[in-house]
Amino acid sequence: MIVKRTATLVFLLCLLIKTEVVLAQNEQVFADSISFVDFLKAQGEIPGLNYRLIDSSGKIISTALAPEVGGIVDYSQALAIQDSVLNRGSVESTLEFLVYNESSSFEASQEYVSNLLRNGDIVVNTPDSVNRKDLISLANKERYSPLLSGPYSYIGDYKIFAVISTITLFFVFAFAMIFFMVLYKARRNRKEKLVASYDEQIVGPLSEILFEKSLEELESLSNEELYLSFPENQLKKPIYMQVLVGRILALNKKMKGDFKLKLKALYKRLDLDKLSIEKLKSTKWDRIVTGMVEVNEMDYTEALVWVKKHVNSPNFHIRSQAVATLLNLSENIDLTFLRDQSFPLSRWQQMNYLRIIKHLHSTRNLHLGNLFDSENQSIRLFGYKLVRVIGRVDLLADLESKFPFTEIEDKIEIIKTFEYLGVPALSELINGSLTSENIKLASIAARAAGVIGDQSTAQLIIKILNDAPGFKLKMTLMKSLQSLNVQLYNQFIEENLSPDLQRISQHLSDPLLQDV
Amino acid sequence: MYSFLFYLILEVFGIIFLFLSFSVIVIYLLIMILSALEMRDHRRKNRFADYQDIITSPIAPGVSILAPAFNEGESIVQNVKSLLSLHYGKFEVIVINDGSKDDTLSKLIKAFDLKITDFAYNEEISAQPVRGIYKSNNRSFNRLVVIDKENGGKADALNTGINVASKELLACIDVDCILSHESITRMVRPFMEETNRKVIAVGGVIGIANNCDVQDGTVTKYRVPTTLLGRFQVVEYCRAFLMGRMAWTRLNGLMLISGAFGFFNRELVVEVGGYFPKTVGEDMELVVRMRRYMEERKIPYKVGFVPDPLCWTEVPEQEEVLARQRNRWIRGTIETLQLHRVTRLNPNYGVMGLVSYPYWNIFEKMAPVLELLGLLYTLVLIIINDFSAFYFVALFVVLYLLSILVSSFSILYEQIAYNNYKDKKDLNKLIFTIILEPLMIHPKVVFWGLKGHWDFIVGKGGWGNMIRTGFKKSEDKKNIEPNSLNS
Repeated sequence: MIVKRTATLVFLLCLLIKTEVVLAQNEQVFADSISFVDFLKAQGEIPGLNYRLIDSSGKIISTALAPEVGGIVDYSQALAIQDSVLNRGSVESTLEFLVYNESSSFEASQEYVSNLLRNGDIVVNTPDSVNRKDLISLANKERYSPLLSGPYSYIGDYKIFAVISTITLFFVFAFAMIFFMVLYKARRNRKEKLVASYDEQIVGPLSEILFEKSLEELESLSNEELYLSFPENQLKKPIYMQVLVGRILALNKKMKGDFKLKLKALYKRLDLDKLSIEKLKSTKWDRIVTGMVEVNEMDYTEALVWVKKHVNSPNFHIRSQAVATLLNLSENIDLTFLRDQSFPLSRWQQMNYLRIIKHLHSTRNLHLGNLFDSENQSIRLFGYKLVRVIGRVDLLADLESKFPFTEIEDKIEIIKTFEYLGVPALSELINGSLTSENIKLASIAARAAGVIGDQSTAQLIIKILNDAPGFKLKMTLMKSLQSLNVQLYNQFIEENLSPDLQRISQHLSDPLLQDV
Repeated sequence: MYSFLFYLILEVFGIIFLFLSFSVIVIYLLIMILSALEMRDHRRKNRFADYQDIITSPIAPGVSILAPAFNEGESIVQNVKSLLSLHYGKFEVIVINDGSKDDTLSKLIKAFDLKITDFAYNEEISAQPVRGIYKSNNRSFNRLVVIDKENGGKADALNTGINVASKELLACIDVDCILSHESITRMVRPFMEETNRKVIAVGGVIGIANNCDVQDGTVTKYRVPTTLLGRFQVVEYCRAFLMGRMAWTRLNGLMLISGAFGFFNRELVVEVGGYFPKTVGEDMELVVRMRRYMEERKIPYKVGFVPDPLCWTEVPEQEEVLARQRNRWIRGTIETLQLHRVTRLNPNYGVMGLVSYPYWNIFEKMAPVLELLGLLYTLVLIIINDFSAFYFVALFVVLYLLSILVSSFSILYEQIAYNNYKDKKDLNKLIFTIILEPLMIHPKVVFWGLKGHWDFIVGKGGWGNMIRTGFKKSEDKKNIEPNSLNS
């Protein structure tokens, strides 16, 4: 819309520029009748305008130069004829105006010519030669000096102006960048020194408080006492606060028991908790995440109300940190809230959650099984991974019952879980998957068969091997067959002299390649 | 008539050069903005990342590090030890001895107590024959696999490594690169973070180790190189990695991951047929082919980039060596763009077809040629007396200042994000280089680029005719017989 309007505006402006010589309809072209007559004399012939001589009775006076039909075309000539007629016969004559051979009044003729001029239909005769001569002679009298001189001459030509402006702009930007770089470097070095100096200022009092004061003493510290360790004016400086928070967080990570409580008390006493909550309310994602990291590290459970609001945030980082913080700090939360998440779970998130869940599962019932019912496949897959990583053998029966109704990716993860835990599964789970048309599922099943298969699986493997599968699958199957039944494996090798099978057999029997 | 045509051509060229100059300015300014946004996001994200978890997490993907080696006898043992000491749980190091003529293999056998195995090698991607696959008797080197094969070039060696690799991700590196201990954990993160798109590859920054102190496989003290050529490459690398690739990552249009340090999804690499051994730009070619594969199947994907300094290499400080490197780079670029020209301005290939490809074609591949044409155009204008010194100097000054602006912006990035060059003198040296580079180094780079174009045209450097025809589909590479490439 704006573009359209701008274009219209530009068009109108152009129109204005182009039509500056065209006069408005109501504008006076001739100031009076004299100027009109002067114009007619100077202009000579005007298209559509003729003249004729009439006597006092209105009869047309005809002469050789002034024919009765058509009339005279040049006004000066008409005047000359009128004079000659007057001189010759003393006949009183009047000059009549004809517009397109129709008799017109003086005013009407004036209006007609005005219109011609307004519309640009006639070119006004200007005494060029005379003027030029005048101008040249005038110019010769004047000593030449350019209209714009010195630096202004460059501004006069818009092209030169544009080029010089561009160069100046680039020059300023380029050297401003270099200047900024040098300045930035100096400031950064100064900041690094400042951070190191603040760190030194903070470490001493912090250790003193931690080691010399009890929790009660710390909580009852007056402002004056606190400012002795952490000066009030310093606490107003953002870099100092940043270093202080960083130092407390780092110490909290390493400390245990009473020290952790003391650090938390100090964190609150210095009102750093309020800063963390402020960050949680921010609109910038990195500030929100920083706030959550602080809350998480300081075990600041009072802030969980604000953290909970971010669990379903569309921002990946906020969501991840909110879930991690909630899992870590909330005493009464289980994994049900994770089951209902609609966003796919990345491996990065899974890795972070896994670390926390591994730590929590022994002390809290997380209702892990709830994840299997999630409509979000990535959550379900994460649930299966959790079963194997934290060794929840009790949930395998549940997985086994769900297996026939799940999707291929789910099946793959369930088989991996059975394989990892080394718990034999129903033959349908492994044998059915071995014959799957999905090559990924068949390969996973082939690998797991060696661990969780039975003798029926061994027979099935031989059958599949006889159907000449791809090299990789062949190798996996043979490895599993070797694990399941060495006798059958040896017999199969003896009976099959295919170069591929022989090579695989040699590979499998090489002690250096046991883990390859 | 002749005169009219001549002036018409001149007029057209004038407009083209004006348009190009304007485009260069606009594009670089856009790159600056996009990379700034990406860098800001990356730094914010990094503040909350705990990389310790990945090292031991059972959910983290396994990584196969592929390090091709050709005549690396002098440093191979130290380099492999450095690779084996990386901090990560699930990884293996696969060193591929690409038919070295020196004692690379014997040194490895001796240092790591290697024994030849009965490894059932499965050639999923065709490569030169494997002579033997070695593993160590010593459990401490359990992660190490050494492949000895016939010489076939870097891409061929990598393909052999891919065939042997058993992990989910491939880390393709130059064996002489120094990797930070946390390089794997950081590079793996983008693969783990994405939920809606498949991350097919992740590129990393290559730092310049010349004149730096290195201890236990990590650069401990940064210093800028002593030579102007070395310092120029510091500026150039900052510009390319911290600005260019960051901006392209923002658009998901990254077409190049450095061959010295790149991570790939193994399954997809095998699916597209691995590296193409007949090109010297195998790193770029693989990324473009993987992208094509995903675009053709309409699978949402992403090519990631990690701007943290995790890998360092020594750059050439001799003109001849640098000239050869630049010559090879330009030939690699031409080759890749020729092979995949079907993507050019093709909306079916998304950002790659509509933005990345045209950019690479005009501003990377054709840049030296266009600069030469610009010079010739100026000469013609001077000869026919139609030359405006004012506009010429103005354009030159603007482009020179743009160069300073862009370079200083990229160095500023380095200062903001990493501040590796802590000494103020180093910064001053870099500023000096930024000012001199457009006048002293850039003309040489253009010349080397032109030489690369010429070498490509005359077929120097092992190019065949066949490969200039372009693939119809990304997987067509599989169907090209090696013999036909040389016809």
